[in-house]
Amino acid sequence: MTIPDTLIATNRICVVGVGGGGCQILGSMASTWDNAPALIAINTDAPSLKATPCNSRLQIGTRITRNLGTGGDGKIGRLSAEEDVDALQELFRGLDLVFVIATLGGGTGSGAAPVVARAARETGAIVITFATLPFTFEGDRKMSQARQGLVELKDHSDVVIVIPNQALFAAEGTTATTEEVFLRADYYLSMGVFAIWKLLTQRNIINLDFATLRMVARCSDGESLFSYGEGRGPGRATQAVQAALHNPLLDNGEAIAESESVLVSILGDPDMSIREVDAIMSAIKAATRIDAHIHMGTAVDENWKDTISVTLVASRYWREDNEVEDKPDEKPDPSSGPDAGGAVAPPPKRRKRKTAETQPQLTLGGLSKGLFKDVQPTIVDHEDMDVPTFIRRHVTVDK
Amino acid sequence: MGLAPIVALEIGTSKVVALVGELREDNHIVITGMGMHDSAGVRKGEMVDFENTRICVKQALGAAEETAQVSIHQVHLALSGGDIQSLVNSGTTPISNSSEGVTPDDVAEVTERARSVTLPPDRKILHSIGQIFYVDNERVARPENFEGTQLSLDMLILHAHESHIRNTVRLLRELQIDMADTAFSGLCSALAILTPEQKEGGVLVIDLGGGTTTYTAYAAGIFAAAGAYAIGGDHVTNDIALAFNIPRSQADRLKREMGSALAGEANRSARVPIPAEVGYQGRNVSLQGLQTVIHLRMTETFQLILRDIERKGIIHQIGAGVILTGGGSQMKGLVTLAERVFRIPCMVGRPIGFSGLASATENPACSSAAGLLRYAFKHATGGRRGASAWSRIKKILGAA
Repeated sequence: MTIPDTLIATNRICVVGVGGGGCQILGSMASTWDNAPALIAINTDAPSLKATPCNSRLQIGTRITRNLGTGGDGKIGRLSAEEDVDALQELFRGLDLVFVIATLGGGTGSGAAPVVARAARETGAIVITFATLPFTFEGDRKMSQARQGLVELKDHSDVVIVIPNQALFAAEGTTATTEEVFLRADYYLSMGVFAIWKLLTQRNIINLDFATLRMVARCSDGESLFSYGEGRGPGRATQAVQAALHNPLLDNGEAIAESESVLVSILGDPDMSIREVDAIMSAIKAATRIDAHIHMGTAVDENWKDTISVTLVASRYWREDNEVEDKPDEKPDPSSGPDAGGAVAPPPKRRKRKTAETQPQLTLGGLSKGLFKDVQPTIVDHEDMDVPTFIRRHVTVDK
Repeated sequence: MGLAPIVALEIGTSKVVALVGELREDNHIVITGMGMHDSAGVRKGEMVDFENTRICVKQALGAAEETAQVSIHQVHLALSGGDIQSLVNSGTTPISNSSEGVTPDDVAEVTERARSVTLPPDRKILHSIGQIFYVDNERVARPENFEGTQLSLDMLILHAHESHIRNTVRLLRELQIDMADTAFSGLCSALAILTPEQKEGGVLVIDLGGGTTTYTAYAAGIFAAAGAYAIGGDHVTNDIALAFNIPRSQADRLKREMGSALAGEANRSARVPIPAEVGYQGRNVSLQGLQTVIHLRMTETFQLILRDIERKGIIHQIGAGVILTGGGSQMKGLVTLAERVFRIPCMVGRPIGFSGLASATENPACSSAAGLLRYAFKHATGGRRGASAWSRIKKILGAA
C-alpha cells in the first residue's frame, strides 16, 4: 500500500526567509525544529546571510546592490530578486508547498518577497506567506513600503497571513522591551509554520489534507490573520483555545467573530484526547459566525509533554469554488526574466490569480453596481468607484 | 433697475433647479422665481435619457416662470459633470515699452497666451481664470504701470467634455430656449456662499450633489484649484441598497432619515425597520451596518479630494476651513467626518447676499444655481461698461 496523496512528503515542502528579518526568524526555527523541511535563506546582504543557520542560502541582486544590501529601498529589493528569478525558480522546482516568511518594511522583505512568492507559484507550488508589518514607531515611510509589499504579496501568494507587530506591542504592556516583542512575534510565526507543516506531513487523528489546504487557499480571499495559543497541565485544552481566541493578533477575538473561514490546527502530546479536541472545537464554534467555514486538523508530536497548542488562520471572506479550471491562456509574468518562457516547463497546475483587476469581476459581476451598471464607470486609480466602498475595502457590514 | 432678470438653470442628477434673479444695489440679488423638479434621466451628472430630462427641465422652467411672472427665453447653465478638471497654465510676454511700464495691451497679450493650452480634441475650456501676475518674476496684484522687461500670468483653466455641453444645448433648443453662458457649478457654489474674508484666508468648498461631488479651493484670495468626481449621493443610496438587498427607494429613505456619516456611534443591537411595499416584504436592518456603509463611502470621497489638494500643494493654505454645501451636505455627522479627514474646521455653507424666496435662499441644494446668478450678473455688468481691454480682462479675472 502506498501513502495516500493526502499527505505530502517533507522533502516537497520548503520554508524560505526573505530579507534580514525573515532570515532571522528562519534561524530561530532552525535552532528549535528537528527534522524540519528545507530551510532556505534569501537575502541581498552577504554577511547577514552567512550568519543565518539554515540548509541553504541564496544571495540575490549581487550586481545591482554590489553586495551591499538594499539600503531599505523596496525598489532595489524587487530588482535584486528579478535579477535572480531563474535561480529562484530552480530552487522551487518540484515542490508542493512553499512558506515565504518576510518582515515587511525593509528593502529586501518588502521588495523581493513578492517576486520570490511569484517565482514559487510559477513552478506550481502552493504559496503561504507569513508577513509581519512594522511597528508604528518605525515610521510612516516603512509602513507605506510594507503596505505596498503586502498588496503585491497578496497578488502572488495563495494565502497571506499578516502579523501586525504593533498589535503585539499593545498587548505586551508598557514594561516589555522591543526585543521581547520581536521575539514573541518570531515565536508565534515559527509555531504557525510548524503547526501547518505537522498537519500536512504526518498521519494524524484527524487529517487536514493537502487538498483541503488547497481549497482553503483558493476560497479564502484577501489577507488572513493568524493566532496561536498554548496550554499546559490540567485544563490545557481550554487554556490553549482561549489564548488563541483572545490573542492580540486577532484584535482580542473581534476579528474571529467576523471571519467567514477559519483553519484550526490542534497540536498536542501523545496523550491528547478526543474530548479535549471536542472542547477546543466547541469553543471555536461559539466564537465564530454560524455560517463560517471551519476546517480543522489535529497532529501529535512525540516529543511534547502535557502540552496542547491551537493555531488559527482566519480569513475574512470565503468565495465558493466555482471556477475550478483557470483559463489556459494565462501566461507567466513576462517580467520574470528573459528565459522564463522558453526554458521553464509549463507549471503542472494553474490556479486563479488574485490580481486586483480580475477579482471584482469574478466575485461580483454586474450585480455589485446596481444603479450604475449601464453607465460609464467612474474609475479612479484603476478602482471602479461605482462598486460600493465596503465591497472594495472588504468590510463586513452588520446586516 | 438697469438689468433684466437672469435665469439660472442646473440640470442635476437628483434635481433640476431653475432660479430667476434680479440684481439690486450692492450686488444684492433677489430671487423672484424658482422651479424645482425631481430629475429623471441624469446619471452621475450626465444625461442618459434625453426625453425624460427634457420633460423635467420643462416642468422646472415652467414653475419658475409662474412664480416670477416672467417668460423665459434664455438661461445660464451650471455644469457639474465628473469630467471637469482643472490645470494651471502660464503665459509670458515681453513688455512692449519697458520705460512706460505695463500697458493694457501687454496684459491682454499675456492673458491670451496663458489661455492658449492644448487640450484633447473632445474637451472644451469652461473657464480661464487669472491667478497671479509676475513682472520680471516678482508677484504683483495689478501689473499696469509696473516697469520691467517681462510679464507673466498663471491661469487656472477648467475644461470639460464637449459632448456634455452639446447635448444640453440641443435639449434647450428643443424647448426654444437660448443658452447665454455656462459655468462650472463648483465655482458657482463658491460664489454663492463665500465671503471675501474666507477667500483671503484660504477655503475649500465641497458641493455634494446627487451624482457628482465638486470642489473649489481659494488660497490667499486667489482661485487656486477645482475639480469634480462622478461620485455623489446616488452612490451612497446604491451602496445601501446593495448592502442590505433592499429597493433603492427604501435605501434613499433610510439614508435621509437614519443615515449618519459617523460609524460606531450607534448601539450595536439597534435596528431600523423597513416597511413593506408592493413586491417587497418589510424587514429591519442594523443601524450600525447602515452607518458603516455611509461612513466608508463618504470617507473615501473626502480622501480623494484631500489627495488632490495635497498634490496641488495648497492644503496648508486652507486657513478658513472646509465648507460643505449641496444636497448631500445635510447628512448627519458629515461635518465631523470632514473635520477628521481634513483636520481643519468645517461647516455647512448656505447662499449669502440673496433674498426673496426663502425656499431657495435657505437651501444648500440651491447654492450652485444661486451662485450662477451672481456669476451671470457680474459678467453682465462688466459688459455694460464698454469693451475696453481692461474690462475684457476684468471679465476673465472677475470670475474669481
